[in-house]
Amino acid sequence: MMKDREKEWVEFMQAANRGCKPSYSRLLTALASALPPIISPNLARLGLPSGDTEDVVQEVLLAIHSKRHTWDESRPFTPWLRAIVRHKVLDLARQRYKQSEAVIASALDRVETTEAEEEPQSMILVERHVDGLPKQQRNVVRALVLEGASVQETATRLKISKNTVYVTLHRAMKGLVAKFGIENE
Amino acid sequence: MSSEELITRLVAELPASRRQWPVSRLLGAAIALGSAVTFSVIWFMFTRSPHLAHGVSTTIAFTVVAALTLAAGTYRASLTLSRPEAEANITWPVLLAALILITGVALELGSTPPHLWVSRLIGTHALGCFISVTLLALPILFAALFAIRHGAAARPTQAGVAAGLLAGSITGALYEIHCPENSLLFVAVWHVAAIVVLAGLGSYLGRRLLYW
Repeated sequence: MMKDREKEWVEFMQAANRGCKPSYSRLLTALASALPPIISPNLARLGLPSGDTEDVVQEVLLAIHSKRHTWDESRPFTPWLRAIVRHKVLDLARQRYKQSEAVIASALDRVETTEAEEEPQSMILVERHVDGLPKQQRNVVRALVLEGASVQETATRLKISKNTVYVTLHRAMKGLVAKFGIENE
Repeated sequence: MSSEELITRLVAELPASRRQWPVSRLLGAAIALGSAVTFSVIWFMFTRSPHLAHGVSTTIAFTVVAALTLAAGTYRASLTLSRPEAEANITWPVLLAALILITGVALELGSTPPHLWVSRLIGTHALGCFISVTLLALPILFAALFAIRHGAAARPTQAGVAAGLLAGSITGALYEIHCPENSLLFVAVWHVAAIVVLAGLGSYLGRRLLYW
């Protein structure tokens, strides 16, 4: 199925590399609908819920975007795409595995503690997790959420585009949700 | 954020024409810069090898050829491994370099009386050379990892090992400017030990730094 569209995708990708936004948009849209049938069987094989498919699709789209220079125009597109999908599926599997280990560890902690500890205040928790984010994500979250700056102000201050602010925020939120998932379970 | 929104954002982020630096150019520049740093430190802060004054000895020739063989092979591997779909094999450059070294060592053992072997092996600067080569390779190792990070290594550990071997082999060759020992047996043990440590360090750092 992917093979048939190889030629089309190569053309889109080449055009995108020359700054053609409509081609890039068509490529990403085509991939967003072509990827789920490839990703969900792989997730199932690893024992992960198909509800994670959308997450992996978005991770793959982000990776295609930030790593598009690693696709060599003289090489076929599909193997490159497959490798990224594989990497992101395994990445999610690793994350989920670590999370379940953490859940078990924290459950064990709770079993061992007899006295209830005081719940940390949620804002302190947020701050602590924000500190653990990569630098760019940390700066964006700090500016937007903790200092209340606007997207435009944040973009100007960090010398990045507004869209980069959105994309970075998207990544940061994903990371935070993943970490909170562990703590609250 | 829905996938449609994400796509809209990503499309808006696409630059008009400016392409990102390909990894090949970045890796080339990074290795050149890292090697220049290492070379400068050896040139300005270490004494010149006393053997170099008498021209290129057999030891220096074998060391440099073996090191550059390994460097060429692992440079290629580093570049290949920075693409997500790539498979690369670093066994061949390692074997080839080892073969060159072993040939040289065999020649040396043949021309040296056995009671001198141990003193040649240990020399007088064993630990110093080992530590120097390891530390001097760090600028190249970090430069290589930085460049590979710009790519997308699906096998980060392997890419890290390749970077470590690359850094170690270039440093091994450059260190001949200083190395006071004129024995290939010495090089084969102490420089190779440093290169092995660097490969290990590379694999550790690769796993941690080459994430994407």
